[in-house]
This record gives sequence, C-alpha cells and structure tokens, in this order.
Amino acid sequence: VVFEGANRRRRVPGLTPLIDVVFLLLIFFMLASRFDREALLPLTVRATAGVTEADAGASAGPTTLAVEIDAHGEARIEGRRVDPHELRAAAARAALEERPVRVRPHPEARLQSIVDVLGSVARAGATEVALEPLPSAQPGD
Amino acid sequence: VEFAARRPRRPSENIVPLINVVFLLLIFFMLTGSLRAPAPLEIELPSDAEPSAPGAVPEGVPVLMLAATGELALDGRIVSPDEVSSLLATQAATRPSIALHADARAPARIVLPLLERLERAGFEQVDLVTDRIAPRDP
Repeated sequence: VVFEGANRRRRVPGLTPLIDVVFLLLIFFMLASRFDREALLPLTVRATAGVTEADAGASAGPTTLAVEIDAHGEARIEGRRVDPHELRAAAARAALEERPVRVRPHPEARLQSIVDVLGSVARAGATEVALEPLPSAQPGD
Repeated sequence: VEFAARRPRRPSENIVPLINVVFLLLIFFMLTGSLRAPAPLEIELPSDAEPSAPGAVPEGVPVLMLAATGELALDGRIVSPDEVSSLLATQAATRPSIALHADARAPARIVLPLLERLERAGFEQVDLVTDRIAPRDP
C-alpha cells in the first residue's frame, strides 16, 4: 500500500516542471517568431542622369512611357496627376505597344510611393520597367 | 471519504489536456513562425498589396538594409557608406544578386543613388523586399 501511494504521487510532480518548460518554450517561440510575409520586387535602375528623353527615344526606337512621382508621392504622366486606375491603364497600353516604362521619382518621394507605382505598372503587364532619376532640369523643346 | 479520495486525482486529470493544447500551440508557433536575428536597424518594409513575385529571399543572397535616415547594414552588421562599396564589390563577384531591405519612408534621393551604386558594383539582380498584405478574396 505504501509503494502504490508513492508511485501515484510521483507522477503528478513530474508533470509540473515539464509544463513549465513547455510553457517557456511556447512563450519563447511566440515572442521570437516573425510572421510577416515577404515578397520580392525586382528593381532595374538606369543610372543615366544625363541622358535626356530625346536621346533615349532616338536610340531605343519606341518612345518610353515616363511616370513621374512628385514629392507627395503622386504619380504623374506628362505633368498630369493620375490615379492608380489611370496609371494601370496607361501602363497596360504601354505594355501592349511594347514601350518601355520609366519611373522617375522626385528626390523627396518616399520608397512606399515608388513601390506603389512599380507594383501597379508591373501588374499591368509591363515588362521593361526601370527606375531613373528625375532630370533636375527639364529638357526643353 | 469519497470526496477525500477523488480530490488528489483531479489536478493530474485537468493538466493532461492542457499540456496537449500547449504542445499543439508550441508546434504551431515553431512551424509557422520563422526565427531571425534581430535587425540592427529599425526598418519598416514598404507594403505591396498584390506582389507579382511573392517569395522569400533565397538562401545565401546578401541582405543590404537601408534605414530611413540612410544608415546601411550588410548581413546584419552596420557598415559605413565608404566600407560598403568594397564589401559589395567582393560580394558581387561571387554572386550578382542582392536583396534590399529598405525602409518605406526612405526618400528617393537616398534610394536611387544606392541602387546605382549596387548596379555599378556589379549586381545584376536587385530585389526589393516588400511586406505582403494577406490577399483577401472578394
């Protein structure tokens, strides 16, 4: 009777440290794990600050679709503000005509606005998309 | 007498399902979460709602971090702008692709020169890491 009682009792205290350890592990993994899901956006840069649109057009043949991003993060095509739908439509047209798309962000434009524009241009099916610096002095006629 | 005999058993009976649940939670967090070393810079990734190429950074690709202030870190170590060029040149020689963890608030005047430097260092593929918001079915 004494042995049975001792065996029965031993089982219960044996579980408590196990639970402690499992709880600690659980809390560790809850705090240390990261759940943010990441995606990759390939970037192409044309480091041609000096090349004007006319030069690029003369050498490449098809005229490019230039999307400018102003300091507030708004996309502009030929100086006119476009909403995401218009931007997508313009990029889809450029993709159909196989015209390359150039995204030119203002120096103060945030990366988020660049990602937004690049994302909608890429989703519109444009394949030849490149970032390039906004020419500081707008080329004249 | 009956009550006195039942009581000692109860704690162990209640604990077993609890342990089962806790083990399940533990396994869930171990499998779904990914452990990563804490980033040396505070970076808020730009969000891309519908990424055209979802995926994680492939194994072995160097990770360059860019904070909103322009600070740089390469593979978890803060590097100075002068130091980074030589490091990148040696990296580009072995594998011409790099992942860029850049802060969403970084202005283009910081991001574009950095991208140009990466291209000049010899990287053919530069992938910007974005935060994917879970797509919701309409």
